Amino acid sequence: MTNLATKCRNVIRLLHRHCAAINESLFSKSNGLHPALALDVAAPPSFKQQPSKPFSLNDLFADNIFWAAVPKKRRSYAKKWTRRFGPDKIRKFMTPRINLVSCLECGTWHERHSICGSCYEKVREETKAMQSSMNPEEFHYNHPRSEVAYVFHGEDANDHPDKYIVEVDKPRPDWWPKHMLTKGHGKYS
Amino acid sequence: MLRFGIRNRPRRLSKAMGRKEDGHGTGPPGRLERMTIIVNSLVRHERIEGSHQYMDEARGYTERLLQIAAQGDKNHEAMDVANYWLKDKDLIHKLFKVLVPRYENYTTCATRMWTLPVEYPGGKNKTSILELKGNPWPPVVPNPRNNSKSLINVLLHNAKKDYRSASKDGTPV
Amino acid sequence: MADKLATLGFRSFLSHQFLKRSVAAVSCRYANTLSNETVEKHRTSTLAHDKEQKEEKKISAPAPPGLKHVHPEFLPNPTFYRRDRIKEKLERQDMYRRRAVCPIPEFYVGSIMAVTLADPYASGKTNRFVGICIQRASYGLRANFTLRNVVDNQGLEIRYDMYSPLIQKVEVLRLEKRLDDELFYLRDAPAEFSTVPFNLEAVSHPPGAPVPVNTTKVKLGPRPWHERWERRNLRGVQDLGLPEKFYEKAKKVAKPWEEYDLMLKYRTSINPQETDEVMDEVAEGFREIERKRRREKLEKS
Repeated sequence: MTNLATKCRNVIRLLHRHCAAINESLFSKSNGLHPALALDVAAPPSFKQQPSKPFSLNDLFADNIFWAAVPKKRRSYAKKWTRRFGPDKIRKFMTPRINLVSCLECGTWHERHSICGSCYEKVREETKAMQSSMNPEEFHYNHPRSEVAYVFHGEDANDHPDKYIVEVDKPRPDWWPKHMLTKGHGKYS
Repeated sequence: MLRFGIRNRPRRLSKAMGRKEDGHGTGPPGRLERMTIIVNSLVRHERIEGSHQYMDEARGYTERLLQIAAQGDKNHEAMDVANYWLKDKDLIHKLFKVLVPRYENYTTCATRMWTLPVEYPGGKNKTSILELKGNPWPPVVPNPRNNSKSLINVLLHNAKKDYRSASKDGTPV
Repeated sequence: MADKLATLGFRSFLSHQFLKRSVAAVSCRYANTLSNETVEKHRTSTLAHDKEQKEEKKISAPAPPGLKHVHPEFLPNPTFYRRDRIKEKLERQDMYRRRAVCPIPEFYVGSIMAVTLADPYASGKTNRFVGICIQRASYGLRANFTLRNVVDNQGLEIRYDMYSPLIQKVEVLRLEKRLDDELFYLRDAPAEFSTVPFNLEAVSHPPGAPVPVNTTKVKLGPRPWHERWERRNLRGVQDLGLPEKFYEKAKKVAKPWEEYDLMLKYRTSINPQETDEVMDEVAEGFREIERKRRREKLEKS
């Protein structure tokens, strides 16, 4: 019984507090008259006839969050599904890819704007092998001050005069002929 | 004059603006620092791979660096710019003694870019190869084949010849 | 290039029937313009029906090397979306014609000049102002310069449009350069640094001689100033004598990396090749003016 009484008292106190707060908010507005203030100048004419307004729910709803944007109707499942799994989301997968092209050398498929990955793989490996054949100290910290020529097994260093020669410890790859620009008549043309 | 198309506005590359020790970003100087690293790498390795956006930005800087360096190492401005852009000082020698003479008579750009393939579905960022022309490495793509001896091309070639000669004579084809 | 990018993007997205908002916005912005590349391609195309009978003016000799510094207003605006080759060419033609009627001598920032304007409300219908040139700005027919003087203890600055038809005469009383490109700090300096007597006699400058550089270092008056001069790297100003914290803040706010940002410099200037082409055309234009003048003189006499 005591618990109930204290609970009732607390509820009443809460209500009082809130009423006071509501009153405060109403009467501290520029248009309203604060009951505690005593103005020693004549009250503005517009407020002369107005008695202190009693608290009403209309004032509470006047300009409040109650008028915020809110959904009018429940979203139908059709609209929901279209939004989540509809054309905007699956367009990327549903449009046919017409830019795929087969590499002429190896036949791998790739996009038209890109190079063939498998062909480039062997180029990348070859490049790494060539780079590692140069003295790493030189390559990374003291690069030679002239053009560098990489000489494979069976090739003559004298073919590259005035160049810094690096000997690569392997034969030249089949797919990379020595003379690119001249018309060949031999094995690689 | 840069001999390839550039974007009208630079890329912000906000990811390049890394983090300092105190947690703040490095801002635009961080972006430029990243560019110097890439240019430095390119001058050393002559062929590098990386994110397309970064490579494309660095391409412009490399070309401009080469154009400015073409004024010669006695030029104070050229040396100053090379000193800023090439953090490894042995590359300054390479720039003036190897690269500048190499590109002296070029009418095209000194760099070339390729796009690497992306495994499906792929992300937003493509990887690209940026290379200096005239590098000693094997070519990225093999030389295009000579198809002139294929049947269709032989027929087309002769058909064009006939058309031209006929239109010259005035005889209807 | 933006147009090219925009059109490329526009085409490919159209074919997929979805228009990205940003691409659409860009292509709308440039919808009424024709890029120079497109125009050139169609002009020189062998498939064109009416082949353009273009009379290319032959450039008899290249321009002297320093011409772009003497006449910077002939260079195009570096801002890419304000470029229009045809407009630039037409403007240059108008500039030559105006110069034939009212010659504008060589001048730099720091030179002392006298400008005579047509003024309907002044006695004698002319208005003459003498002052030191503190700024040279803008491109083409909009090119202007500002003269500063102190008259009756009042600092006066007048900005003149170089190609305005109101200008009757432009004289350079003393041809010289200063250590800076803009002399706005004279506003914060005592009046003696900006005062030029109106009856100053012209000092002749021999044609081939180098332009003298006036190395005076101006002592600024007490703060407050119009600008934070400590952040400006001025060379024509004496030590500002500010407390250390000003210079520390200036360092914090400075952007020293922009000096080495090659692409920024490229984008905010006209590349040397195009500059040379333009200047060659300008030199030819000047020769044309000279020839006309000589012809008219001969006809008169």
